[in-house]
Amino acid sequence: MTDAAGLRITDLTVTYPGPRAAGLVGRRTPITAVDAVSLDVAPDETVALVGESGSGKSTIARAVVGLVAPSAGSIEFDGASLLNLRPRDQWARRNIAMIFQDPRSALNPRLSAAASISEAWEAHPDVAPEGVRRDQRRRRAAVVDLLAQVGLDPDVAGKRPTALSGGQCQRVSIARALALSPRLLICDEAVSALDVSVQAQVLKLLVSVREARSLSMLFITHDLGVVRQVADRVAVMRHGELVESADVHTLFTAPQHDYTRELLSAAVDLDVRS
Amino acid sequence: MSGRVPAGSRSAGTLRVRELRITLPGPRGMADVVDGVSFDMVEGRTTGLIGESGSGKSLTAMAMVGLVPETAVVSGQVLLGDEDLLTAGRARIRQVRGTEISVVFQDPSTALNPTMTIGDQVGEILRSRGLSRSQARERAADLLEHVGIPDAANRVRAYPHEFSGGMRQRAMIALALAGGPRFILADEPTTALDVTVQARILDLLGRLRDEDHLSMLLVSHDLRVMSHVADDLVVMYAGRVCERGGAKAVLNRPLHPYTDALVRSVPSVHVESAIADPLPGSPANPFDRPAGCPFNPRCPRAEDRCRTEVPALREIAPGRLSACHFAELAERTSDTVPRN
Repeated sequence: MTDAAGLRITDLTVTYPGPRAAGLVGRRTPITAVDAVSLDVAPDETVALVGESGSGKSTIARAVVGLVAPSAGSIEFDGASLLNLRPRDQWARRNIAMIFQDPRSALNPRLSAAASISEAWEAHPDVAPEGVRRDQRRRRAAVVDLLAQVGLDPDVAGKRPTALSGGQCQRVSIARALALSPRLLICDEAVSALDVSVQAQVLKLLVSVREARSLSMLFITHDLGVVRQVADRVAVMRHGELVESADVHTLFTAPQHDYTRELLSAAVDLDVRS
Repeated sequence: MSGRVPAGSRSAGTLRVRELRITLPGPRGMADVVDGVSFDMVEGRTTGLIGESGSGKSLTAMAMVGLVPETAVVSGQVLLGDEDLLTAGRARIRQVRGTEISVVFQDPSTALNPTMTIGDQVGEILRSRGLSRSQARERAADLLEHVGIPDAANRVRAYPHEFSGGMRQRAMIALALAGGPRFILADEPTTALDVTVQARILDLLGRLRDEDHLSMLLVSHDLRVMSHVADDLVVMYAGRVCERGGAKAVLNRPLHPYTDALVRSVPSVHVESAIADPLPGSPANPFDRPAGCPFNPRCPRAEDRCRTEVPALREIAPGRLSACHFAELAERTSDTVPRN
């Protein structure tokens, strides 16, 4: 691909300070969590990032939204760099929103759903819907509208996370992510912590939101079944390296890398043969 | 103290749970969060206890070995042979735990003591039976080897943080086996592990069940795992059993709409599948259980009767129990619930 649209990660390397060699004074050995990974997410495309714990998939997501600083490489969105942004250029990240695994800890327990959602508009006034910052009624209408888009009743607006179920909390997180009309949604194990019977609800919601808003998605998960249902392309990570990337059909039917094959053969399906 | 078990109870190969009821204080008074649960653990078989959050599955398993919150009121029977463990008293339960019935917990990194070596932890129960330190360590090494830890003779001196997640869970299993129990209660033993490791731990549990003739209770929300290791299934919803039977039969042809919805909701890895039509709502809150069948607000085939009358768990076909008003109908028409 040569066009600059969408997310483009080039040779991304992230290192964390590792344990000290000797007690409290030794030199730290740096741990390379992500090692020269290049990955693109085109507009309208859903890329699944899979791998086991410690493979670096969440670190990539964190680097993209600016929660960790890479030690090398570049991250661009629509051709503009997302690294080393001056505070007044932080708006460049507005195009990207993230949804986390545990919906309860991702929401401020002291804020109502409405407050969590409208906080985004306070932080980014220039892209907030018309009048929501000054006009209470407009703000409420905008919140209710977002809640409706994620399948929640208006009365959820006044509730705090403790009064909501896990599935409802995740819907509020999604509404909050959508508040600034992002173009790329990063879902870090967004359905993993939910009950089995609720997972499909939230997956359906994510897919319908993706279609309605033509979103790109970076979908991080360890559940290969979910990957097969939602992704266009799959990138497999191991020990910080990208080992294989292919369209979803190819990856599941003709995996090239040994590790991908190992992952696939370890993943069991429901066995209903009698 | 020899730590030996009375010879009488050795003969019993079955652990029977009868009408187990656990009452806990909730926001609106006491509530039966586990309500009349019955099932058997049979020698050489794995019983899967499946359910979502609030179903009471973990509480049920923990109550079998007396590990319930102080505020809980427990009634019913947990029969080890002829002995009811619920009335046996604390001292006896402590004796049973580890020697007759052992528990494997979900997260081995918090279940193991970080300040003790693996060998000392596995050997602790043996030491309490009078084995010397070196004897206990030797036996611990054997046990670690038995559960597939390489270089066990040296690894007994390692601390839990020096083990990977999968190795810690193996050590946890070795610890559970140390007292020579016949029943293992495993609460989500693979949930915290990566898939490749998960597969190996499940293989290990299956091998132990067969080689050591153990009975296993596997508590999990993961239907995929269950379908591969469970011989019998107990499906719980909102503190009650909604379906029970042979695992393959239950998964192949559920006789309760909830089980059916669970089976359909599992995405397939090896075959292309669309996202399942989801059930509405969230799992019922056992503190605020809906009237009638607890599943009725989410059930695709609920009728008036379901909203008022609690369906009894009853035998629908040989070995198959269901608590759905329409289970007989479903059984006859060889179709679980109307498809869509």
